[in-house]
Amino acid sequence: METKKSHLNVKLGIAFNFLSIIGIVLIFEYCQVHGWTTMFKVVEFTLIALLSICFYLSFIKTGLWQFSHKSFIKVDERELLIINRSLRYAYAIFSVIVLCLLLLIALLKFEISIVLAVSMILLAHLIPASIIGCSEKPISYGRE
Amino acid sequence: MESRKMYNRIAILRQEQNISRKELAERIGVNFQTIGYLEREEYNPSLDLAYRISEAFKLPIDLIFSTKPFKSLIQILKEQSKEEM
Repeated sequence: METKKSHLNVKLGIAFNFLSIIGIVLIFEYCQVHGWTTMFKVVEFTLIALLSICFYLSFIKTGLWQFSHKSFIKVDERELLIINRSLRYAYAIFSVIVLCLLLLIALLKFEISIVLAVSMILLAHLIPASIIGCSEKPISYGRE
Repeated sequence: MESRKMYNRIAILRQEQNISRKELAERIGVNFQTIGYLEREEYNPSLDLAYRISEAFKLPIDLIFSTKPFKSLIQILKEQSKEEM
């Protein structure tokens, strides 16, 4: 019961992480064109705070980030299998996201902002850890 | 190719020899959580890991691992009693 609850919490944290990244990028791009208002500034900072909190709770505190960034020498064969599988899926997902983004850039003719570039780098690091978080029980990657 | 399910006696042997999961994990060089996965038969070990486990228990590999489910003690005793009769 406790494991199920913590697994659900990790999944929720991951979902909030991605939603806040999307929100940050969308608001930034919108305000670059239409101008910044106080309300948008507040929402943007709130989303950055939400991203930081969710990142800490669902990736750092659970040990997910450390697990997905562990050196291959320090993991055993089962852990290596989990990491390899997550990287394979992450590569596929990230490729599709980048291709869609490039298509949008070509069609809508907008420039890549620093925020978008940073978000993409963050996404590339978050996707493998998120796949592990969603598919594996917290016990399999949690701290000893 | 889909691999077959491997059955093992790790949990029974570990309890028999009074070794904790952490101790066994240290002996064979894996994370202690991996022992749990092996005991629940949720993970098939590599040949190297299977040999390390057999060396840790000082038993032949085919006594610890099998592709067919191991018979329970009750089943073995029932079969023995039938043979005797």
